[in-house]
Amino acid sequence: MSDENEMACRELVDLVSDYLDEYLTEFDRRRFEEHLAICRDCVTFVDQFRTTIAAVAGLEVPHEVPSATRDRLLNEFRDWNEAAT
Amino acid sequence: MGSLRFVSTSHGGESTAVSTAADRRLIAALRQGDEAAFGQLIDMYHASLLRLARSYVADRAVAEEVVQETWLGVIRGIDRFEGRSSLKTWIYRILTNTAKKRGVRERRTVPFSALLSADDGDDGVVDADRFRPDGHLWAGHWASPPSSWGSAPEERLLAGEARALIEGTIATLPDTQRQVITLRDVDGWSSEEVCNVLELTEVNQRVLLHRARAKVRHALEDYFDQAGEG
Repeated sequence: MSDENEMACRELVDLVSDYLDEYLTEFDRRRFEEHLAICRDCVTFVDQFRTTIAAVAGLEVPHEVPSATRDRLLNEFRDWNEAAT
Repeated sequence: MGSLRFVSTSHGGESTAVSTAADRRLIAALRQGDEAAFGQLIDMYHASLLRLARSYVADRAVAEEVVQETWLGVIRGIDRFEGRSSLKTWIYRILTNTAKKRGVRERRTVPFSALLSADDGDDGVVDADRFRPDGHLWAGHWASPPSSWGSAPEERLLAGEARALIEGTIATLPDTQRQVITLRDVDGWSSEEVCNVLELTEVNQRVLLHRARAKVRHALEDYFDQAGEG
C-alpha cells in the first residue's frame, strides 16, 4: 500500500454507521469515500447496510391503542384530576 | 418507506434536549385536566412505550403493566415536571426506570435461539476471516466479499419471511443493542434522544447501534445467499 492514509476494507466496515449518520471527521469521511471510489465490494457492503437500515425502519407499523386500554387510562387521568380539584 | 430517514435522524430535526413550545402547550393542557391532550399523548407513545418495555421484560403482560405504571407516573408527575428535558424524554425515562425495577424481579426470559446467537462479546462487525490476513499483499481487503442483493431488495425484505428474520434477529440482540436499534431505526429517534433516555454516552450509543445493524445485515446476507443458491 503506497498511501498510509488509505483505508482498508477491514477498517471501513467498522465505520459504515458513522459514515451514514454523518459522524465521521472530515479526514475520515474523505478516506472512506476515496476507498469507495476504488472498491466495488465495499460499495456493495455500504449498500447492504443502507438496505438493512431501511428495512428495519420499515418494521414500524402504525399501532392502534386498544380502546379498552385507552379508556382505562383516560379514566385514570379523569379520576386523578377530579381528586386533585 | 423513509429510506433516507436514517441520514437525517442523527443531527437534524428538532432539538429534543429541552421542552419545546409545543411541549409547553401540551403540558399546560395536561395540568388543566384536558383529556383530549392526554389521549393524544397515549396515541403518540403507547405502542412505542410497549415495544421498549418489552426489551426490558419479555413477558407481554408484565410489559403492559410497566406501560400502565408509566402512564400513572405521567398523570401524577406532570405538575412537578420542570421541563429540563423534552416531555417525550421525561415520559420514556419514567418507563425505563419502572421497567428496570420490574426487570430485576422478572428477569427477561431469553428465547432459546438467543442462547445460540447473541452475547455482548466483542464480536466484529464482519468475521475477521473474510479479510486478507496481515502480511498479505492486500492485507485487510476482502477475501470473501459481500455479494449484491440485487435490485429493489427492500420490497423483498418487508415480505413475510425476511421480515420475520429481521424481527427475530433484533429479538436475540443483547438488551441495550436491541433498545438502541429499536429507538433509532424503527422509531426514528435522534441519537441525542436515545442517549438521554437510555443514559448512554454518544460514543457508546454509536457502537451499540453499529453492532446491532451489523448483526441484522449479517442475518440478511445469509438469507440472500441461501436464496441465491436455491
